[in-house]
Amino acid sequence: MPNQALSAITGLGFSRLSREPIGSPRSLALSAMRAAVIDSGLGLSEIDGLLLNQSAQISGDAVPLKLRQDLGLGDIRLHASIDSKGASVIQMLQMATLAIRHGMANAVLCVFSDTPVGSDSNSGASYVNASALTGIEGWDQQYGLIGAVANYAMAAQRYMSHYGSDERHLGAYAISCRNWALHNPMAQQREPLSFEQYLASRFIVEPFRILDCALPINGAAAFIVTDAVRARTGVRPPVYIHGMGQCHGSTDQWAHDREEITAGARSASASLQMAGIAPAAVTCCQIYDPFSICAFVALEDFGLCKKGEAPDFVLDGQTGPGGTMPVSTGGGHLSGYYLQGMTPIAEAIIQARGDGGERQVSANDVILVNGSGGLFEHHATVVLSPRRSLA
Amino acid sequence: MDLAQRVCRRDLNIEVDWRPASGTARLYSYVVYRRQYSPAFAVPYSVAWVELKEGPRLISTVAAARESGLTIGMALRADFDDSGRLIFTPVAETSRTS
Repeated sequence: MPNQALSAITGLGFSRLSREPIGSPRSLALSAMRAAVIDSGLGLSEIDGLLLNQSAQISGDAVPLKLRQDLGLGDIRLHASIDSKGASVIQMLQMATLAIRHGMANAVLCVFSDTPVGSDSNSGASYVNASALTGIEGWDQQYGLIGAVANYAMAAQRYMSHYGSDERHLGAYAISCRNWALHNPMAQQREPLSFEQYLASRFIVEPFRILDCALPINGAAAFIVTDAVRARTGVRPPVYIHGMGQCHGSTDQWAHDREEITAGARSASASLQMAGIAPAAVTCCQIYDPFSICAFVALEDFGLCKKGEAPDFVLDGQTGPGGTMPVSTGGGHLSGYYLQGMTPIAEAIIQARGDGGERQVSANDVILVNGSGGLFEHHATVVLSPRRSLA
Repeated sequence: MDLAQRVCRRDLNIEVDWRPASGTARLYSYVVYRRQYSPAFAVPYSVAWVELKEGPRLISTVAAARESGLTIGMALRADFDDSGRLIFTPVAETSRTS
């Protein structure tokens, strides 16, 4: 039935977050899982699904299936590791919803854990895996193309060249996120940020300054998905899922100088269609935004800004506190905390529940949340609301 | 065809023919490294994303980039440096053609 919820999120939990080593990814995952179960009020025996996600920065078995035993779960009916890079966490939410709707599970615990910051490395070194833009193994490295920052910087350079945006726009997004973070007790960056300070900050890979890039952090987060009807009797206000979409395409689709519809746009459109609403119904966005350029691309993919117009929308202050379209209201990846796909979904849950405190958005009715992996290659999008029906 | 592809879209053929490329290209995008990631590449240095006239895009470098400056869309010509690495050199244009 259109406009009716597909499922609901009924629990949310975090481990400690720190830029110092605070434990193994497995132990942090367990901590977040436990916190989510306690938050939900569910008994352990009621959890019958477990989905896991980790980043590529840590070893492949760092967040193992055996976390089922760690938590003390019995036999469960849904259990897997999910990976589509930055789209993974939204995909876990989607997979949980699909399973619940087909009666394969009743309560699915989804967890992401990462420890990119080691005791002997500075955090910038955390994401220096060799990139692969050319598509030929080993090709890019011979020219010194190293690290995720450069990939996104390539996209930003072209975008800005084509649409005539510049550092004022990038800086405006960094400041928008910082302004939200000032009101988020969990945010990592809580000092006010001026444009002069942004300009004075050092370049990493042009056009990106350090303030255009998320800082890695060690930590984990988890949420629990249940049937929408069952969620009404839970201890926390349910956060309903109304629409889901995915699309995966080639990396050059961020090049908005072409008129084609990007994979990100298809993913967002699919989720809005499933929810039975148009982009104009969206009241708040939680964007996967480890780099400032991500917000411009996402706002345009969502259909909230025409191609090339998102930078001025941000420069105008529309995405910050008091603006018409609150974006990344916890500070996002740049000023909040970088737990990949968990950051936007956790903030969406907090806002939908009314737990935003000083940063609570009154327009929390329809929250669009995305996850984006690779260089704009993998996209997953959901529509969340505190309302069980959007009709 | 993009360079990551291994199977023909039309008939699923996996046999590849080599064809000479013209060497003509344009600068699709570029970045300038300011942070030292690897001792093998001293900052500042630029990395180019080049679009060949034939369509495929690849990562490379533009010779004398620091002197000539980089502009997205600038005309380039393929060359090889002393170590045999594929590089691109700027081509003087009197009028811009697509």
